[in-house]
Amino acid sequence: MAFGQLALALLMVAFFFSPVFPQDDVMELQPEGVKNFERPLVKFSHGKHAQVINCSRCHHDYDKYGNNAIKGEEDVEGRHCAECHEVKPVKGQNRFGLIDAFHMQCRGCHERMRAEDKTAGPLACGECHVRK
Amino acid sequence: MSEEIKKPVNIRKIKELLDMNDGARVRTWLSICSRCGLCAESCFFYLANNKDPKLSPAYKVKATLLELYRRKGEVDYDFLNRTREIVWGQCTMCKRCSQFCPFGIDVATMISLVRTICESQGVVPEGLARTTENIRVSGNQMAMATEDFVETCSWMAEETSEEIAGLDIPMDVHGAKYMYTVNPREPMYYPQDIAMAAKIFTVAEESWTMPSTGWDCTNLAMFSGNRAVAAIPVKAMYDKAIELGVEKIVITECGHAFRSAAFEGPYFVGRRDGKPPVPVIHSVQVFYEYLRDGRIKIDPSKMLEEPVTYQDPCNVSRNGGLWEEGRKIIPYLAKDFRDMNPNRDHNHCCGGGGGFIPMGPEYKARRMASGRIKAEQIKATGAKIIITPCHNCFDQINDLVKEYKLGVKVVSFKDLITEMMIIPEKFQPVENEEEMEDAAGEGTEG
Amino acid sequence: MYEFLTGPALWAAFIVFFGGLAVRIAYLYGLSMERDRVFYNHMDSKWALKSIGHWIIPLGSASMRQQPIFSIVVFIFHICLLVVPVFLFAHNMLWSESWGVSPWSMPDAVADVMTMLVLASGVFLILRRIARPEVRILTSAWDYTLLILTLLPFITGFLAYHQWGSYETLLILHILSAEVLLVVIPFSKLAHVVLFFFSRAFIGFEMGTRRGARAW
Ligand code: SF4
Ligand code: SF4
Repeated sequence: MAFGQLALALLMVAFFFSPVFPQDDVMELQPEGVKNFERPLVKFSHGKHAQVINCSRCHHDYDKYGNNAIKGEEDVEGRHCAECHEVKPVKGQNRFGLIDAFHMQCRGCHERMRAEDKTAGPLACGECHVRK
Repeated sequence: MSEEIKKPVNIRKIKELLDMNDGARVRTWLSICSRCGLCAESCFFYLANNKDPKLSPAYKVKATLLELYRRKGEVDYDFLNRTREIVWGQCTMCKRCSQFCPFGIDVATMISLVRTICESQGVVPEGLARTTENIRVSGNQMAMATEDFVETCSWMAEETSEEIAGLDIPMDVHGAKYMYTVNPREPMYYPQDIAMAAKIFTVAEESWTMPSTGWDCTNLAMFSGNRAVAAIPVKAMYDKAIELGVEKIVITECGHAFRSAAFEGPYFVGRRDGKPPVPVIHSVQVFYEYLRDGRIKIDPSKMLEEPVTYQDPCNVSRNGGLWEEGRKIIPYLAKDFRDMNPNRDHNHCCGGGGGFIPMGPEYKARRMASGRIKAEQIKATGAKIIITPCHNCFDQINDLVKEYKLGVKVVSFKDLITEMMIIPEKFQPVENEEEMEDAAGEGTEG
Repeated sequence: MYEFLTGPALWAAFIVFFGGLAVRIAYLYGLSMERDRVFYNHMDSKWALKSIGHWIIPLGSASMRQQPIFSIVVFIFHICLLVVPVFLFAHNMLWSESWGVSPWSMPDAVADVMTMLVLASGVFLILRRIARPEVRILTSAWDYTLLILTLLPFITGFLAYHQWGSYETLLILHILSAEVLLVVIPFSKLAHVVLFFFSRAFIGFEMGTRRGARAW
């Protein structure tokens, strides 16, 4: 009985503190379609990010007026960056290439946050692309 | 060199000269020399003296001009005397190093500037100081009087006309095509040289004249660094050529005279276009044209059988642009030509240039030591005869022949051409032929 | 620190670099108009270009052929030195993020090899300076300093790329040393990055136009 309560309590604690996402806490970002990675893949702590910023800050699906169709967690499911951002940017389409998209997303945000004197993730190449 | 008490160094004058010459060229050269040392192996002083690093062109500049700028001209006689040994005793301003420097740094020009600075303080090898003084007072380096010069010419005309009928040495002829100018050692010590030139001009039926003034085309003041005095003979020559209305000034077989008259002289006399007022050409060019155009014909039976080589005088070839002309003459004169290596515009200085010969006995040992490269070059050709259209090369190689027992004979183009050319019927003397041949026999070049 | 070095400091370095070179050239040009003008009248672009060309092509001059090993090493040194920073993928990433455009990039593996070539030839140049008397006598501490300063961004960049040692420190040193180098170039013998072309052109037409002599 005591064991059952403890298990329940633990489960509740785990639920409370675990990311609201059904994904791994730390994920390896692997842009689809990119061959020959020059640098080690980035270990991205999704959980940490999700705690401090809204999903729609990163996950986006802009319409032509720049409105983000993604509002919350429920809209994100199953979408991939590479669906819209081709590896090589297509001329005439106002979209970053896939690698640029990643860099702008992460580094761009880190830069802005730092400029606002907030704590933010790293900027230098090797700080994300860490060699083991 | 001299122990007498000197007046203090005129720092102001040095500063002034340094400042005047602190132009974009010198500044760039001094500041971008990357100290790579590539120039070392281009300099025969370095090569001949056991690769002494102090003889590399870049070091010579570093120890002299760069040091002068660094000290802002505040130097003493001790420094200047040491500098004199470098800029006169270790560089002939042959300009070979500027071909071998990645930046084309013109060491010779900078050495020349240092010579000017030393000269302004009276620190100059005696031989050059003497000739400079001669030019200042007389207009020519040997202080020969005009009457003596004119007399020598007419004496030569008289003598030689016995060999070639109708030969004359015209003096101050207005409107002649060529004004022929000489090295003062010709009228002073080797008047046959003038006679030989007269023979060639006569047989080629050239319209030419000798000037009674401005006849000295040499310019040792250019090497002593006194630019004001260097302007004197150049100006006299240009003025005379303009006065006579000649088409061209012809320079005798002398290298530095050509450099002075055609390239540096215009700047000495302040001609901003850098060109002489009357075109200046070297004998080599004239002789080549005569042979090419058939105005002078060579008796094939007299052509040289022995191996022959050619010494490119720096100031005729690299600094004069006439290396091909010299080589094109040779097939008319010799059957077995063997070029030195390196040759043409890349040739090594003989070691007698830049005023080295007139610097006299004090510098002779050094001249012989650094001439080793040339001696070895000559030896490697196996030639028995060496032709050179330059008085300084001529003297230096003669000395080298003795020093290194080379067993070669040094000649000028004039020597060979006058010896081998066919004298057309109309110039044949009428009588006493045998007697004349004796008189013509010993045509030594000076 | 990183933000400062890649922000204001980088701007300053580039401004000093380009501005310094421009001012130096403008100054020398003015000076030459005042004092060396007499030499302009035999200026000739054909000889100037030949003179530059023969010294840009490997072994294109008699002097280089005389010391082929040194010449080839110097050639490799300069080529890699110029190519690596301009065409490095990581640098171009930053360009494209800031300006939306960047030069073509080469694979990191190539850049890695070229960096090692810079370092190896740099070491060769240092050893040559020490070993050859005619070079040693010309060399001062400043010459070594400049050479090391030139190599420093490559050493630190190389180590940072491989993340050998403390990455943050190395990267900071990398950016810092490159900026110092950029600032030093216009005011030292390293200004030969541009002055080379002027002095070569000058000697080219000086020897060539009136005399036809080769300055190579
Ligand atoms: S000008 Fe000639 S002699 Fe003088 S340093 Fe250069 S190579 Fe040597
Ligand atoms: S070759 Fe030129 S750059 Fe190199 S040390 Fe000599 S003068 Fe200086």
